[in-house]
Amino acid sequence: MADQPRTELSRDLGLFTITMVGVGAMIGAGIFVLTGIAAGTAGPGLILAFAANGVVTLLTALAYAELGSAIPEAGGGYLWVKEGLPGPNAFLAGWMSWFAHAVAGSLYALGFGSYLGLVFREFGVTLFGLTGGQLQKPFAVVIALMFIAINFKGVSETGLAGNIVTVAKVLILMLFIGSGLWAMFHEPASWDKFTPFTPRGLGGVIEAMGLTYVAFEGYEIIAQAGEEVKNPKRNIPRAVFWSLAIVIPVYLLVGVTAVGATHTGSAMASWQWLGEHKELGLAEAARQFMPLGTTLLLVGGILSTMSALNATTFSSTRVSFAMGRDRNLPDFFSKVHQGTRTPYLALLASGGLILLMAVAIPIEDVAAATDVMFLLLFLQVNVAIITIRRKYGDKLDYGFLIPFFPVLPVVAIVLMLGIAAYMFRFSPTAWFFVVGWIAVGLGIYYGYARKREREKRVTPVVLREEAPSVVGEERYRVLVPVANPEHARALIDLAATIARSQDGEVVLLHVITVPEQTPLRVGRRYVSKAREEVLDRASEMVAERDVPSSAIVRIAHSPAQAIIHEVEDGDIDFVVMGWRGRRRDPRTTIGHNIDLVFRHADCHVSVLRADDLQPIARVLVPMADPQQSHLMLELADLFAEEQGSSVDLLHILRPGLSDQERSARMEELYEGLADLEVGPEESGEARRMIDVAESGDVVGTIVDRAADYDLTILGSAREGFFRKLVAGTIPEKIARGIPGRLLLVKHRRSAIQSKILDTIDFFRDTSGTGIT
Amino acid sequence: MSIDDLRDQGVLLPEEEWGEHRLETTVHVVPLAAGFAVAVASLAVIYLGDGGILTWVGSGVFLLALYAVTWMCDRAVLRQRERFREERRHAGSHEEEGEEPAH
Repeated sequence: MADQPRTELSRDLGLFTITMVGVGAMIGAGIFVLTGIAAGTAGPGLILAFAANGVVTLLTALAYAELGSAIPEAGGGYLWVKEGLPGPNAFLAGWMSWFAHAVAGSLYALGFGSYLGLVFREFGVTLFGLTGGQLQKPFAVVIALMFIAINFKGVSETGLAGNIVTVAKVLILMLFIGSGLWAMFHEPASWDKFTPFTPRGLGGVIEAMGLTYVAFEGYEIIAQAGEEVKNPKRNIPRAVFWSLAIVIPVYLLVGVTAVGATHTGSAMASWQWLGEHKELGLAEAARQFMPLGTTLLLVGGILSTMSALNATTFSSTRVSFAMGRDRNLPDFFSKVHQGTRTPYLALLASGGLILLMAVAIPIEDVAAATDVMFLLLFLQVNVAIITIRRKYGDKLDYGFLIPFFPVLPVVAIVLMLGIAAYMFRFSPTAWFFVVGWIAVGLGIYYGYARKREREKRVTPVVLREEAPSVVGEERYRVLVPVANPEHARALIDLAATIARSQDGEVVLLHVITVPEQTPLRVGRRYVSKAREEVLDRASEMVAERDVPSSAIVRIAHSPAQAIIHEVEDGDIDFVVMGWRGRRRDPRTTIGHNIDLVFRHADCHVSVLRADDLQPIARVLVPMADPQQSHLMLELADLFAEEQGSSVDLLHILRPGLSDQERSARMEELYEGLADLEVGPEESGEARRMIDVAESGDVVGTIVDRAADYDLTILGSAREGFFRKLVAGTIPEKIARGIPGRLLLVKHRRSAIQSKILDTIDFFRDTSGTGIT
Repeated sequence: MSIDDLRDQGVLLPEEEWGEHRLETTVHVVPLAAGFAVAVASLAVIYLGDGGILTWVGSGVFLLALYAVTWMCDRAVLRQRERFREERRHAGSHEEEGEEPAH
């Protein structure tokens, strides 16, 4: 967090090396294991599936090039989603990433099981009476357990071994392509195998795209290695582009040779034959046209699946470990073993997930689940790039900027969503697991992680003193931010009155604000001064009014941030703020901090413009919206009870309304206020009536009337986002027009309203305050 | 999830440079659009060729378009660095190219 030193990695990867890292990550187990399955789905159209995937991948690669160069951090996609998207998205990005890498591990374990099973079959060996084919799952379990043990020991893939494996598998694939093309050019009939090109229609091609998407996602590792790349602004985007330019043609050629050079020895088409052999399709095909074909492909497949399983075990463990460390998952996920210095409990959980998926469902469904999860993850990155550019656009140093922004990320989002949805046709089981996993994730977020996330907020509480009588009690809590108690006398008066009426307490909040460029820890030196000079005096003032109080000090870069966090953390019911009546920034409605609290605080909020609240003989309450009016009237009644003030209600109708429209409007208002005994005169039941005036100038009429009153209580506009954007709001215009005492009130929003508006605000916010 | 997080990560520009750098891409957009259009059109040709000669022509054109797009993006990265240095000089910042921005 903000006050902790950062550990930095040394930058020693050049353009060539980091491009090879990306190529090595892509040309791997995915192409060995998935080519056969995808050929069975798309037919010769597998080539089209690879090419189309190249285009879809290129669109997301543009996002990785931009963000990888601007924010070259080890977290990669997970980190950008965390920066760029609101609410549970950051948690879900980590949660989905954990699942995606773990299930990819299951896929590679099953792929290994199949390849080793084929070795047993080649030599006619059985084990406990089981043949090679039957041994796929047992082998998968054994190899997964082996890599869990290896990762527990802390032995990850070393640089040299990793490079040898990469070179070996690329050479084997090159030999496969070369031999296949040689065979095809010596047998012209080979080219007839590509007709019909899409025997299962375009649907089969889209399914194959979804199935093989995981084989294209390796460039993610380039961004993840960002902290170790020399000149990352230049080399990361270039490496992303060039690694794809190397890999896509290789995949196309593997597809061409697998379909074109394979003989089935029967009427069966070569693509069907490959599909029947599933994950072993490539190895079986190599037997026909490549010297030592099966042996080499088996070696390549076994090496690839083993290194990929090791990498995915490692990465899924690290993701869950990081989530535990970030307090998104229970602390035990971040526990490190004393002896091996490895996160053994995160490893155990990840290993369990890998084993469960490998054992529970067939390899096609495991592959589909992996692909759907990666598609959804990359989709989030494409949304995040739009918000990051909007929020931090001019504050970052980009190595590459996406052209046609934001059209290309939007196209990528639509395409990936389409492919992921289409995968339901191929594997409903995969979607069942994906949706189930996301649903469990949301449950964990709302039931557990969100609360813990709040605890590590960037506005730390440095002092909390609660009155002994109220510790642990659930009481109505009225928050008053206090900078100078002598200027806050009227605020404390109002807050105490509200708290007393609800048998609640006043919460006094003092915010130590430090400039943006200064670390928050600097504010700690002012805590005792804040307590002595501000809170002790303010607490005395509340005590004089015979109301219990608590005192809190938070450090923040913005007072609004601290108030909003205290509202969330302290279960605040009502915020009472002060306003001097000036607006420094013309872009704000009332003032920067008040606007933010109005928008983000999930409680009743009132803003008082007055130096004192005595005497209040007459209160004017102009009403429009029934919900706001209800709260306004409750507050007016408090003055009536405490000071015997008279309360006049006013409603202004547009001129020219028909009788029907007029009575419908009034009925709505009376209905909303019935429990406060407001009603029409003719009913005979109402204690209070609303004075109805007709005027085309609402602002002028209310301002004129307010001149005769000691206090005017106004409701803030309903959350009219689009209206505010265009013209500002009537209540705020009235507030500026009234010279006397004024109380502006906003009713608590409903939970759904809150979510929708917070999301809209998140995408609108360009200030980077990150309050949501 | 805020500007503080980015500051802590050391990826923010110095404040005096905020708003000083343009956000327009340095990719030549018309040729790039043409490259993408050719790539997408070649996918259609691969499909319509139904495994015949057009499929192979389409595949070849697709690879050429892919390399053209890659080349254009690669050049844009180099231009972007050049432009950034120019804008930094114009802004009068003391930050050196290649160094991490001040935290």
